[in-house]
Amino acid sequence: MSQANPSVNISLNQLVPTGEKFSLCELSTGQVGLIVEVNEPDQEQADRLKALGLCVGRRIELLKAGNPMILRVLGSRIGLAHRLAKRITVDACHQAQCCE
Amino acid sequence: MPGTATPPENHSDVSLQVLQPVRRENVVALVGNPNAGKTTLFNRLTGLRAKTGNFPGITIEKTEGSMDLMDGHRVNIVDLPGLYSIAGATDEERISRDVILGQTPGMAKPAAVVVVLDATNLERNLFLISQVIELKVPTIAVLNMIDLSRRDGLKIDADKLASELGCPVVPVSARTGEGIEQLKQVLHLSIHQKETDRAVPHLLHDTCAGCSCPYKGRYDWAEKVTEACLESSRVAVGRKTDRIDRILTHPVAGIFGFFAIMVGVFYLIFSLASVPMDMVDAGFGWAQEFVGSYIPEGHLNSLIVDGVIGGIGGVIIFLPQICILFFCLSLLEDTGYLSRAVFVMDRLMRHVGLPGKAFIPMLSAHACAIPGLMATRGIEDKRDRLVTILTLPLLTCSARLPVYAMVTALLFGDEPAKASLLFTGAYSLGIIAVLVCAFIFKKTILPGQTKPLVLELPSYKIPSLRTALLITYDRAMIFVKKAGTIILLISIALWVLATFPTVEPPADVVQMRQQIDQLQTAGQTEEADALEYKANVRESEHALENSYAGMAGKLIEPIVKPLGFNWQIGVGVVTSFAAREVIVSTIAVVYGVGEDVAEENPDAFIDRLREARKPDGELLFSTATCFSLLVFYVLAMQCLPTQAVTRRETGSWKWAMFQLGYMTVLAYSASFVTYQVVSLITA
Repeated sequence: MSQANPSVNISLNQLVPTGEKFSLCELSTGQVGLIVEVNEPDQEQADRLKALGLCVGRRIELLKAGNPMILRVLGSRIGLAHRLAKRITVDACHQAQCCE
Repeated sequence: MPGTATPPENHSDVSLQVLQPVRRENVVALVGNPNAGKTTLFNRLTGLRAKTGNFPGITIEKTEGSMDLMDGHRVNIVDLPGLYSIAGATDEERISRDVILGQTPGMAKPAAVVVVLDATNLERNLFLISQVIELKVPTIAVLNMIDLSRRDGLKIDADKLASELGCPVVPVSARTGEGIEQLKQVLHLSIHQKETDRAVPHLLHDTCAGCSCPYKGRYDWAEKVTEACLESSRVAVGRKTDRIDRILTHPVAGIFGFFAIMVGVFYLIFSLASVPMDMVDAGFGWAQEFVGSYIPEGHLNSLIVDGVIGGIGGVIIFLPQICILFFCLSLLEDTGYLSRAVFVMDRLMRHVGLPGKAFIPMLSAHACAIPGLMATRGIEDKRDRLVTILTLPLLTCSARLPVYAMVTALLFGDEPAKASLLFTGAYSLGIIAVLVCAFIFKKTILPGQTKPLVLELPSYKIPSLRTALLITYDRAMIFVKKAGTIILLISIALWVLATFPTVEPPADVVQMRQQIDQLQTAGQTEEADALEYKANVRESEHALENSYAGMAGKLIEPIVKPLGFNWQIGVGVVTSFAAREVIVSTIAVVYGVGEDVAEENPDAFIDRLREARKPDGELLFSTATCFSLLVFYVLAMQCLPTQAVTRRETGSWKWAMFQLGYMTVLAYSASFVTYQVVSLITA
């Protein structure tokens, strides 16, 4: 049957921003942040980011730091190059509780 | 006159004809996020009746198929490209928007727009459907992968969702077939309504009431609707995927995993394909004999048998490999691995100016450059796509294999270890050439950085065999159609060049023919047959030497001499301009072996070539010449269909010509250096 663990993912939307702003590149694996600014000058690129959910007001969870990094936004995993990640500013939320 | 002339068995149709007096084509458009299972649903609905083409004037693939509703009413389904948004930022988004609004020339306005939603990830998928609904077109929401979302413990209230969206919601699983009948019923109802009666959906809540960023407003709306429609609290999904990803996207282990999977795919391509390839070969050989025996000897016979059947057969022989390749690719894509491969390769490839996404076309190009070029459509950025297109034909396609096999047999006929090393070397040379050329283009004519990577990594899942088979069938048909048109024309042109102008048979052949007659009248049929074979070979050798192709070979002899080639190889270079593998059969003809011997008894063919000498008595196929020939065929364009496809994909002959030019210069220089260096070493 379902091995769902209800305590795991509810957290994302309930985490409270701390007010500390970082570039997405500066987050470490496992951290959650609320996107507060997307400053991508290339319009086409900016639209692509927004269409994938990398848009002001969304919460992201960094699944794996690196270049490219992997993050979770809107329930799916996104691979993202460093060059784009540094255009995104997030308000870091309190460390997600350990889940496993 | 409906009602009066209707046969009784069509009784059920009568009422429908009353409902819809004018019969016209009903179109249903399929829209959805990438990875929402749109293709699987399309294949589930249409089966084998799909055809892939292009939207007019643009290289965006259009897949159409037909489906019969319960009353036998036929509906045309258009599968639009996978999209996250239809705001109109890219060509694909604009095209899809036009189709939905019925503004595409030559296409009817869709009677219904089916939006495929991934039930395991509703929030993301709601974004797109809200945009579609706001276009005020009849919309049907399909909650796909309902089986997987159930397995994950998600409970979606479909009725609630329907009231939020203001349109019907049908839960289905395209993979298992669950819910497909209900979907057909909903489509049936929608299609048989008059256009003006069709319900236009309305969102219950506005997506953007006085908000500053339309994206943000829409996502906030999606979040609220998801919360309202999910009965169960959100649960952990994709822990398994995260665990697999820890290995497959790892900077080191991921690359090993990638190469292991690619080696596996290649092993399948080359091991499984050999049996059907032999069958294709035998089949075309049989067809040549069969058809040849019904057409009187002469030019028509030769045109049909050698030009048409031989030419098409030479291309269709690669079909099994192409099928296996696409089957494997489709399975890998469906499991979700392909995006991981892009992710891993991006780290390596971006240094030379190639995007990670170029790896899929490059993989395909190892079977044939043409499907590879078509696969470059997945690369959004124009610069990135152009670099990929320009360098792609340097990779070793299957058509190079006969040439590699010939040279390997000449050099290391009885040393399998060295032979396989040479093969690997030839493959590697192609890959290195791609990386070097891409880097040079980045530094010169196509400056700029590759588009930074941003792509979704879908959850791993069990692939659909049915979808893989249908996609393979579709790709195979595209390839066969190409063989039937452009490659056919090239084969005929080549045949003309190698046949005309016709010359009288040389004196020795005339003499041989007289001897044959004498032998036959004396009853020595065996001797007569042997001599006739010799005469035929000598005659075709002579004919080729004096044909336009032969003249061209002699004309370019001074140019190819520094590469260690003589005029006979020159003829091969000329005749194989359109299709590189032709050089093997050409050399067989010019060295008087005859094509049949080369095929049926390759050892005799290779022995004959080994003995061939230049006028000064030196061995013609010296080690240096062999290496030079190999390098030339690794790097030279020598494929007219590829150029035609490059022209189509880039929109101008300019790039096709540039590609031909730089590859020829590259092949010539590399071949020249190889010949001179190896000559020095072996001297």
